[in-house]
Amino acid sequence: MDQTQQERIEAYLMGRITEQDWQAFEAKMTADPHLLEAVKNHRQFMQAIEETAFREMIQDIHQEGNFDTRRSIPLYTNRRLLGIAAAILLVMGSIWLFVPKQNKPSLDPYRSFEPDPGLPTILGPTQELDFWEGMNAYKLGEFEEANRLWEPLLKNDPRNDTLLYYLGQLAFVQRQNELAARRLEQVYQQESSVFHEKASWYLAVAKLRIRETPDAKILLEKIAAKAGEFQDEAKALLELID
Amino acid sequence: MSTILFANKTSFTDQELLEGLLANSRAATEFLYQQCYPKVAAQLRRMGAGQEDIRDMFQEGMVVLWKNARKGAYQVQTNTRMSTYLVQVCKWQWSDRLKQARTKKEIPLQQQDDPKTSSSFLDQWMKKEELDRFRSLFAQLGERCQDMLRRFYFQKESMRDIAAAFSITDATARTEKYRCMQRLKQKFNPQES
Repeated sequence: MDQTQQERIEAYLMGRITEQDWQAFEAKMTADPHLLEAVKNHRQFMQAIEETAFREMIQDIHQEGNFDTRRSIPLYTNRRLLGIAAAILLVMGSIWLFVPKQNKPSLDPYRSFEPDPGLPTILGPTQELDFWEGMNAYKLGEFEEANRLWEPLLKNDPRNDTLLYYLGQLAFVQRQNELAARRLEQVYQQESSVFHEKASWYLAVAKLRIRETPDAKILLEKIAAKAGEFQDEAKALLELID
Repeated sequence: MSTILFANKTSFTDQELLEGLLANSRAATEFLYQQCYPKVAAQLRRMGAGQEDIRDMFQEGMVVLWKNARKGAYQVQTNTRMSTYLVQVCKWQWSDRLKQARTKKEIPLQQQDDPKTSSSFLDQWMKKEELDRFRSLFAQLGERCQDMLRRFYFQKESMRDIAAAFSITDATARTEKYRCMQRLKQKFNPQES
């Protein structure tokens, strides 16, 4: 490839030609497979130079910013140990939760506990990051961290059903049943919420736990009356209550 | 002079960051880096990543975002910030690396795909191993050639600006840039020269 041809190819690839010249070049490429190949090859080199330079730039930024010595959040002295402890606590907690209690049914009200990572939210852009960080903490069983991140968001947006639902779940899994019931009740009242159905089920279970059995029964009857994710379990629970 | 775009800005909207990435603006890239690195580091540390892993994952995540912005695969969204997108990309990459590490342990070496034959030339060529080779060949060009090619292809400077920076004529700058590119191609594909 000579200098003139290279410059023409670059002008085409970098959009530094007129519309008319661009069309003429396209037509020439269609008719000349060698030119087409040369353009493809040159584009690859241009992309590789750009990527190389971009990588160099972020490497420079990293070195100049001393990022390796920074810590963004207070770091515990032994995260591995804490992770193991958290895992053990989670396993023990799960076992305890799943053990059937006397005449209670072997229900699994926690089976939908794991949140959907692709959850659509209606949060504003400035709050998204904290929400997802909280979600990540929640999935890792770091409930206090999730709570710490989500509570301020709820203060700013007290009727947000996504936050109310997951903060309700947080309370639910931590056996703070009254708080769970309060939050889930607010989601349940929002009939258009995507969490309405789930909230009604967990609200019913939370109400049973705090011995508000008549309210729980009304909720369970509604759940059992129509096809849904929790219909069978609601029916089974109703039979036991009766 | 696109890399000096937004040079004096201290805060960016996502739209400005996207424009900055497309223009290879150092200021915009640096802002994004400073904003997101600590968040990614905190998340990946929780997922068991060490300091070097975090740096690698973050920089790969930045490259993914940069490439996706160019392809149009990343666009500014009203309900998801660019920083959230970047954090997620880094987390997925780390999860993938963990998965790959597990898979490699399970699959005998001879049964693993040969990366040289399992994908198209372009894909393969752009893979990191090839890019590493490209980078080492690029580094062999000498400072002057590297600088000239960077200015033209990355910083999108005009040949007139490049000529002025090197105190040479436009015609000499164009010839020099052409020769630098030819040398790079010959180094990369010696059989074609």
